[in-house]
Amino acid sequence: MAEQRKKLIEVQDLTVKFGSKRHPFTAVDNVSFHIYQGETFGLVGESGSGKTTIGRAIIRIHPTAGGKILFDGKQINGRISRSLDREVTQRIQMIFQDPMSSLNERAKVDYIVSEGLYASGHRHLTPEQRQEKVSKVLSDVGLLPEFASRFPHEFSGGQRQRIGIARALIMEPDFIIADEPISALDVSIRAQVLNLLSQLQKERNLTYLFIAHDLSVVRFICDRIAVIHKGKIVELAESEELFAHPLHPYTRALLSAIPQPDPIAERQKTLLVYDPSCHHYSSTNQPSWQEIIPGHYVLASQEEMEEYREHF
Amino acid sequence: MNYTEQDVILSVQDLNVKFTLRGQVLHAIRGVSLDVHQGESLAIVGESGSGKSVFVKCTMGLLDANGFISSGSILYNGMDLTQNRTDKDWLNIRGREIAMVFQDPMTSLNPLKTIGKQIQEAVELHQGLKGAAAYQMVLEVLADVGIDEPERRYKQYPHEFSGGMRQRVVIAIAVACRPKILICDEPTTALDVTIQAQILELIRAMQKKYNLTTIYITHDLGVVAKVADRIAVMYAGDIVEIGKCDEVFYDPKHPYTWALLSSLPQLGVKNEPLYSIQGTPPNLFYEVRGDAFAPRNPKALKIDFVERPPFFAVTPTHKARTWLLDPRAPKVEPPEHIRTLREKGVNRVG
Repeated sequence: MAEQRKKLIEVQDLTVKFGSKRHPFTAVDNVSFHIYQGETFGLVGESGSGKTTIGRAIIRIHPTAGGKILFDGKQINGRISRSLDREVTQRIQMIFQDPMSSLNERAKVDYIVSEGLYASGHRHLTPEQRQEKVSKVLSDVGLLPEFASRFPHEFSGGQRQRIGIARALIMEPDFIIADEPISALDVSIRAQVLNLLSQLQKERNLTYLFIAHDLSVVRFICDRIAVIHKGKIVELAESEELFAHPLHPYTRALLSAIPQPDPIAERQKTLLVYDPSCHHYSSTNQPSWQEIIPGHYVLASQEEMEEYREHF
Repeated sequence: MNYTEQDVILSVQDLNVKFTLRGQVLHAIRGVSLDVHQGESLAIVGESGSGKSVFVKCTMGLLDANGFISSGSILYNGMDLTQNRTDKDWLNIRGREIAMVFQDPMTSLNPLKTIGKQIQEAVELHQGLKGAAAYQMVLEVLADVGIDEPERRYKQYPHEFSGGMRQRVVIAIAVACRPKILICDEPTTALDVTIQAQILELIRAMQKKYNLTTIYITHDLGVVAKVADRIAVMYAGDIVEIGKCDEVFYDPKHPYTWALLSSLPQLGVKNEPLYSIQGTPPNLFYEVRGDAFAPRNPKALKIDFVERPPFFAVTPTHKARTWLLDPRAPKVEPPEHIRTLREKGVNRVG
């Protein structure tokens, strides 16, 4: 049962603000969710919705303005001890979007992959041990160990993304934040990288936070999906449930935008556009975060909840 | 639709394009022939490196300095575009006859000029309008592509626009010249899914309004199902399959088209690995022998490695370059995903 599954990440009322004190901009607004050990959790939204900011707040790149982030039961945002910081750096890793710009062009693959080891208390490793680790992780992601002595520009997009994955894996993390890992790749390469990610998850019992803007990819790889719009999570459910009963109008707009490889269906499809004013929220009619059926949450006002309930 | 000879607006005959790189010669386009018909929308689909961008760059004279057309012709309204040598020759074609929308709206606009001025430049150059008349035209074009408050937007700079809005501006510049052909090179790759759908709708609306012929270039077959009348699948510098949209989606014949379709995550089944194409595209520095896709095709026939397959016609509008269509070839069933797609199509048509 879901209740007994261990929560690896808990995010409670997270708020992230940018800008100065006088002109603050709230990028993430009171967001709460948790991620179970071993699952793939999808965070979907358009650019500027704050999905990347959440990922970066978890990995301690952005300071938080409010709320708590718990990793394995321990709070990791705000001021934390040095040893916990070191532990977090090792156990949470990130895969970035654009493999063309996220690798140091002037360093060899060997250094790129093992840089994390230098930085995090693996200084005692002898060069031989380090090299052995690099070759092992390179072959784990489907690259040849010989590639260690090459530069990033010698690789194709898919291979570079594999290097990015190897760099995360060498730290032996428990939790990986994948920030649009396949958006910059060709369709044929996407499949390879997606397969690699799920294969690694099975072998190493990894937990993923998968950030993307494309629901079709997320449906394929994620167990549960949260849809985020303008810094607020508007709907959260298991993937199949979300696709079967999308409730929030923004989720429905996102679903309608997925291109289908089916010309007849595509021509008949009408594109939904989300207009935030359709909610008619007022001071007395504010939306709140509510569970409509077990595991399916939606941001809705009382009136809307009545309406949504009719879907079941 | 029935196409007759007069309908052809752009005709490419046996085009070969080569690049010289560090003393070696790369054969980027290997004998492509293609007719583009007036008013249609054609999608050219292929992986990166398949030559799809090089192909359309030839039609606008935008090849890199180390690239050259080694043989073949590109006929546009009876003119052979391969004979154009200088920028002056191209001036009458670029923008005025054939316009292009580039992939990344972040880099294809000038950050130092207002949006209005950038569109006006195109209007003045190609429409011969000046002053107030040109200004009016710019406002019209801006409204056309769905940008609200054109007077205010006219004075803004690209950084004040979102990605989708910038792509609308790029489309406005292209359409302002009233071209006959609009080439869209990965118009939505850099955009979000919701914006992508809106931009594709916009291009389609522009096509209808100005009776444009559009050529889409993309690596994602899923994107073009709605917008394309015909689809050409390119692999290793050659068109391997071409047909009407429904024919290519519901009854694909070339193993490469099968592979491209099967690797779409939209068709994937959860908890099962997604189909992925093994290996890498051939190195075009070397001569390709036989069917270029054969080394990556687990069901390749022996002849695929020896002789390049000719085009076999499936219907008058659908043809594919694969030995599987030869009457002597053994029956090879397409993968499961393709059969499901086919059933979908048959059910709805019949």
